[in-house]
Amino acid sequence: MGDKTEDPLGIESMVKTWTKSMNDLMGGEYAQGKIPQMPFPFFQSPLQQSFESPFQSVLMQLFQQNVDKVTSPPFFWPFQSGDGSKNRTGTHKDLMDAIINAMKNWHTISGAMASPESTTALFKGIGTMPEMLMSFTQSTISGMAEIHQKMVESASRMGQSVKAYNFDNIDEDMLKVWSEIYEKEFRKFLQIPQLGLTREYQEKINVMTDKFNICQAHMADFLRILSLPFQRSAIVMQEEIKALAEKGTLSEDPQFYYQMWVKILEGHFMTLFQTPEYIDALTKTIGSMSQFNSSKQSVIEDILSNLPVASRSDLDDVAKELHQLKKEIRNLKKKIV
Amino acid sequence: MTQFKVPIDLIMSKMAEDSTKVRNRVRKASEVLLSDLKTELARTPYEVIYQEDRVKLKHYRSKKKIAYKTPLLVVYALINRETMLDLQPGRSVVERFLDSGIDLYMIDWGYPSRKDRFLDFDDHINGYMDNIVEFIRKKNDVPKINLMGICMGGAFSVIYSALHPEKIRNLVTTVTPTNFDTKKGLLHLWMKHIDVDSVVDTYGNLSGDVMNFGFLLLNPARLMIDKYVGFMENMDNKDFVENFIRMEKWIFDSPDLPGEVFRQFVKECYQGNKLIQSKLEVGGRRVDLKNITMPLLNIYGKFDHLVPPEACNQLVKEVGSQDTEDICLNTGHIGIYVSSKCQEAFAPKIASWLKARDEEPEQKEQEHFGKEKKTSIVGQKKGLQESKGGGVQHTQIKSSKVLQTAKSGARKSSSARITGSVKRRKTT
Repeated sequence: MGDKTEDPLGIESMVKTWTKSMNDLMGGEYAQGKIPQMPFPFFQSPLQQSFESPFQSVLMQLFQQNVDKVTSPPFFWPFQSGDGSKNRTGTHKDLMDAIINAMKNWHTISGAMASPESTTALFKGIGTMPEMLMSFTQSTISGMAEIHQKMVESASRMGQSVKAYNFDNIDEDMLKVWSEIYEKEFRKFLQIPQLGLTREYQEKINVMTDKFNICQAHMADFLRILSLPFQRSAIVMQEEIKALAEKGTLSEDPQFYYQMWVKILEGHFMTLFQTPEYIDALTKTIGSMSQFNSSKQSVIEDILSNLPVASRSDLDDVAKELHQLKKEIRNLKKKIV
Repeated sequence: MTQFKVPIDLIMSKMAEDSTKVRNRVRKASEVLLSDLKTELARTPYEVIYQEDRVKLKHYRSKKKIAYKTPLLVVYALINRETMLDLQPGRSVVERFLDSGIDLYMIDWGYPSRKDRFLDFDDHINGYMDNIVEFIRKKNDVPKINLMGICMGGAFSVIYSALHPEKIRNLVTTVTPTNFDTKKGLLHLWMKHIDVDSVVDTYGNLSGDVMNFGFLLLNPARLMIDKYVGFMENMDNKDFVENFIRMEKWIFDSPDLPGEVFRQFVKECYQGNKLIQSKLEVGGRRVDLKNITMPLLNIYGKFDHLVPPEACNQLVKEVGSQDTEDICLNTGHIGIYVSSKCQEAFAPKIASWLKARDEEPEQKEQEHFGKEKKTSIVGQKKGLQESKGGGVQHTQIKSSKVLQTAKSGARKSSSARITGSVKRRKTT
């Protein structure tokens, strides 16, 4: 076999031509940093030079630097910039090799594709593309529609919980509706099973979020109930003042009205505190606060486990053991004495 | 429509008048608040003569000669502090007891920390309390001591007396809840439904601040509004301000409650009502109220919103003692100890009641004390038989009669109305 001559239609020749043109497109010698950088062509307006002020030039320079960072070829990553031309050449060579390999692969594939059988198969495949795409699109859209439908249903259920043009128990209804919506619609998203290595941590965070929301809802309801005596007392005060006015025995002393209000308020609180609604709200609030704190503690303990400090449960374990030991010692002491 | 004439003009002019008064009051109040206020609590001198962990035993120094053979141990609740009994000179149960010649000891439960969360009834009653009783018995060389309990401390004293009756000569219970099956007190209503396990498992101890908030919620109109309005109206009065600050200091000086004690108190007492039914178990032993054979004085407040009379007045019926007295004072939970009216009726009554039962230690008892460690149960049964053999007669009499037997002065100077019943042993 004679010397290998360069075939103008061969792969290597094509790659060289393509690389050269790419290099020219990227700035040719500029890419290697041999010639001064030119501003980005987009900013080379005819009037630019005449109106260019020092401030503008600074701005242009800053912008150009940023553009350069974005548009610089991959073989000039910033961390390589200080390594000199040796590295750059080596990288350039690697890139060239990679492109040559890619082109060789493409040549092989295109050669294979040139056979009539392959062409037929290709066109057949292309013929099935729309069908496949349709099927894919259809399933995606129907999935999206289903999610959307569920969201719309959830949203519509929000409306079911309240009556239109009814503001009788606006605060109560608002809190109740929010609790219901949260418990029926949103809560289940926090209960989606978690997967993978971090599933336990994610699950604990979800539980904590859930308990926090429930605690907030119960707390809001509890505070609403606590505010009721103030509202009712105001109404009763109005009635009392009206009755006094009718009798003509209204006092001129503001202290009189204050004492009357405090007495009415106290009466309302005493009545409220014995109602099952208040007891229920109190019990729920205390319970949900405890649950939220417990879940929060669980998350904190996970965080603490990575730090060189003892967690609360560690200390509790020690305290429990100490307590048991002391108890045993006390009993033994009494037996001895 | 009827037109009502509201004298807005008069009200406004009254308010304008008041504003001048308020300005003067504020000026004077600033002088009072910036002056040297005497607001210290518990100023009666004492010595800490025993300490175990956080629990201390205070022994008060009396200026007068001890006139009682049997020392008195006061057991306060684990909620708030015992300083309430010694708020200030002239308004101090401690001072009155000392003036009566009582040799006075008091338990200071201290401030439970997180490590104390596992301490339960058994640790407090059969542990700390019993060790302290033993210490006092040895120190004073007496076979028995007098025991006085306050609120939860009263419940502890009842339990202790039932478990160790051989060590107690007389039992005094004040505002002590023993019957929890009542719907009168708000605490009784609320505690029935609380998920105590969740609370204790989460928080460990029950925070003093949380408890205080709960107590404020019992009457927010008075405790969170009116009380401070009253302070604003009187803040130019130095004595009033000093008393008010002392009370504030005491109220908000709240140690945490050990978690297991809270769990037991809620589950066994508030929810199970086991104490009055003699079904409660402490340290593996059943608390049988019939074991309480020593004289019992039970005092409570008619207007107590924390421990209503219904929670207190069942005790005398359930104990084994034949010498019991039940007194209901016209006051509330705290007023019984700090109000001027009750001060004059309460402490002198206890002092005279104890004096009447401050028996000369009999030779038999001295012997019994020597052998007690081995024969305490036998001795206890014997004592019960003797008391029955002595001829017991139950009499229900009006408390006015009781007061006639009490030290004079109390009734005369007190306007506090007292009602009660007495079941007294008579020797035939």
